[in-house]
Amino acid sequence: MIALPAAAQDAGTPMPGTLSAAYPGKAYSPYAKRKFPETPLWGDSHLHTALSMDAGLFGNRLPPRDAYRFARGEEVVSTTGQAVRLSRPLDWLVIADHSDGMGLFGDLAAGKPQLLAYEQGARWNKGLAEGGDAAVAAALDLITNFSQGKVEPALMALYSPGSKLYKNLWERVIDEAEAFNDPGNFTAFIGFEWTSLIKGNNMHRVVIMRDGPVRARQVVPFTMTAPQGSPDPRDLWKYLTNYEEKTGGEALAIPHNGNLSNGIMFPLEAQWNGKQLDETYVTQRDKWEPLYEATQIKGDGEAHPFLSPDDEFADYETWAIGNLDVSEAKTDEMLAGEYAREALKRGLAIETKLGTNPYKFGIIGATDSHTSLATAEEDNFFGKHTGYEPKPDRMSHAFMENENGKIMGWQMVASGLAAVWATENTREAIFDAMQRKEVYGTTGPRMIVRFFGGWNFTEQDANTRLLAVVGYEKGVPMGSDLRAMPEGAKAPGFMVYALRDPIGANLDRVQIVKGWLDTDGTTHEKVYDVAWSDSRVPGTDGKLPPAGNTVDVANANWTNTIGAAQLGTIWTDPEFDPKQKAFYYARVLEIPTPRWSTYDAFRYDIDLPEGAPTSTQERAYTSPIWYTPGS
Amino acid sequence: MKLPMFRKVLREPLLHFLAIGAGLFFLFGFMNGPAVDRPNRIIVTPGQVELLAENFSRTWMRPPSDKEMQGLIQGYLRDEVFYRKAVALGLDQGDNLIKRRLRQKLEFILEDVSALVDPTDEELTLFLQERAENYRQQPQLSFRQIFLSYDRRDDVLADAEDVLAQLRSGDNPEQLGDPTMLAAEFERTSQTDIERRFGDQFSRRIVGLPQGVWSGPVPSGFGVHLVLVRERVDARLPELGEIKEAVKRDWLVERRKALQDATFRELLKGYEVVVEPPAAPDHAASVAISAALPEAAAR
Repeated sequence: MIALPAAAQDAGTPMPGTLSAAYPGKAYSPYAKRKFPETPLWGDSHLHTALSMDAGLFGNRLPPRDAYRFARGEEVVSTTGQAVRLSRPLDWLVIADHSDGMGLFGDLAAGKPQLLAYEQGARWNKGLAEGGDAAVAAALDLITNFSQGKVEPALMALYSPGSKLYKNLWERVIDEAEAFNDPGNFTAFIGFEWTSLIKGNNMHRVVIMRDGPVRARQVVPFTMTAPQGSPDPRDLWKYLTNYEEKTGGEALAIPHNGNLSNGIMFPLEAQWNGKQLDETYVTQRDKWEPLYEATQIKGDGEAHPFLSPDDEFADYETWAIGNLDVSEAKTDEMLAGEYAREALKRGLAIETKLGTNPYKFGIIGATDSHTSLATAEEDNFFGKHTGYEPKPDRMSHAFMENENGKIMGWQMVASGLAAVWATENTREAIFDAMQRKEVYGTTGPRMIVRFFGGWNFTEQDANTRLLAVVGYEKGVPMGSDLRAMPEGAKAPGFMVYALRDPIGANLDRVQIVKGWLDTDGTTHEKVYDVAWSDSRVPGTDGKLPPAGNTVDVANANWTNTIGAAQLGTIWTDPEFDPKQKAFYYARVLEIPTPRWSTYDAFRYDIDLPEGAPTSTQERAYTSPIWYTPGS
Repeated sequence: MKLPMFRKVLREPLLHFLAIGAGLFFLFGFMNGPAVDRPNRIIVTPGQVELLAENFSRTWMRPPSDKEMQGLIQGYLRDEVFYRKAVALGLDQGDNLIKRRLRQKLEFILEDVSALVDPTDEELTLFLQERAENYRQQPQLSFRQIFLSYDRRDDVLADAEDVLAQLRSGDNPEQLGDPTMLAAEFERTSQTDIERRFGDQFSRRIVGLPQGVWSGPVPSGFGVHLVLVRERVDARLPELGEIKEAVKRDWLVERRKALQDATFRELLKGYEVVVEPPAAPDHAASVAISAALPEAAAR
């Protein structure tokens, strides 16, 4: 802060008497002068349409307009001819089609002669036209070639930055978003996915722009294929820097599926190419990547049981067989570079060494669905891609299979969504909330979660009828740094409240996950149960007993006879050490409900495949609140 | 199809389509003219060579060398020879790939044609009126709510009666009810939005509540609520001007579909469809066949 004498401006020096009229003091009405968000806005930040090369090849025929109509709550007919509708509309959507090869599929379907001239183009065109299993085989072949960098260069050039065709396509993407963007009611962001793969190791990022067409048209998406593109995240950050400098706009990037990166998503020492992390890497990553997509159809990435052996809920919908195309098997050493909680811990250690925490991210969920349908609900799940839309055998087909292992259809996860605490439903307000990390992710249900950290919450605050007012007044919301520790304070307190999805399941418990760095540089974590239903008493091991399970597997049903509609408390860290860097985030668990596979078994009258769980405890993860000594 | 209003509009795009079809026929006839006269002659025109070179440079971002040019022409000749021989042998017959590809080409042309003419305001107004249900704006309510939790009270319904009596006698609502994350005040909120926040049981009940007095208890998935409806805005059909873009978007989607269907029926008239009876009488199959035939052909 630079303190300017008021006289340096034109209005003269203000006297206290003249100012009091301008600032008449506390408003009588508690609802006046409130600028904080009242309700979270729900959306999917990561959806693919027929424009994505792989989505198209898997058979998706629904263009962006159908994806937007569906997200707005309209009924559409899926590619496989099934009528589908969301239980309630979303508030916003990011269509994030792969920038590499964007639109390639559409032209393959149209049999563009330029494409058929290539052996690969002709082959994929044929598989596509045949439909069914042949189309799926063609798609897998395409993904394999693409992820191993083996698509014919001349073919890729047509669908890359620099070609006129590519520019026209990008303008179409922008126009579609513009047609459906309806400030106040529904926000359609302009964005794309940058699909970086290093020998099948996933480093994908979704890029979201805050801006409208005027700025977005001044660039085209960044790709991963040379010479125009690059698989190095540092080059993506350069692209983003250039975007902001050139257009005056704003953009951010959201990585996902660290669980399929074989250890390179959250490096501790060396980047994917072996070079040491340096100051540029950590500051740029911190600047451009404020969020991480921690749960989606290809696995939940909050925690892994190998890394968090004391957390009985860590093994949730885990995909840990190999990298994205399973071309390399997973080893235990890779896991620490893959999961969100561990990354948050690593960030504290790196910050001590390099001065900036590169993994100071907020947490969201998204679908990454390739069907143009943002479905994350267990009872309304349309699968990863068109080949896995509802049908009797989708659970028992291998989703991925080779000598390194396999992932079955039933292992797809009906997840996730992002909730954004924005003050209004516009591109600007939602983007700004993402920037300040005032967001959280769920595995599909729409529970409402508030999480504040501060130094002077009292027990009494848990009973206020104006939770948010107290939360913002006395503390900071999710995604922030704790305010400086006041004299005499002993430990930070956290106000956490969760309200179940109005049409969903009751809540089992609210937990606070703490991670910290001790004085000799080792990271630690601990999960605290802080609020729970049904007056349960923790056992001698300190663990809260399970809430029970009302799931009727045969009829794919459950009852809200256990659990609570709302849970909340003020929790103070009992093991706080003011010398240790720490982060805290809340995890909210629902009572068990039928998993999507159980609905499939019931609706198609078939047996559940071996290994498929019958029920699931869906959850929400909030963005963390950080504590740094001496700040 | 019962879309009478489309008939007039359709007649024109259909005309466009037929005209374009005739144009294409003429164009291809002209380009391939000599070959039709003398089926064994393949002429490589300068225009053809240029097209080959252009395609090449678009892919490689540079013009072809002489050697590559020769290769391109060789490839073109090979294409032509094999293509003509294959057609002469009838290899294009009964090939689903080729059939689907040709059908697609026609459908793409139809898509383009259907976007040629913009709808007039009269057409859109009519469209809007015929589908009023899709565009009707829902009732909106402004209300205040107080929450009572099952988790905090032994007899919520009895408590609700007490609290309601206090509210009606003018007690301060800020001091009543249990803490909740639900907002207390809602301004002009649509019924759908209320449903999204409170569930459908609550949203159906609240639209029937009287205005200006505290009412309840109204149950929701969370517990029960006491509600003061302050204002009600009735459902209404917006003017075209307010939602023109949305109506136009839907209109175009329907026209595209209608044009494809109409074209199909128009073209179908040029064919006689004969459904041969199955060898063994199969009632189910014949029902399926007659159901699949559009009216025009069934007659």
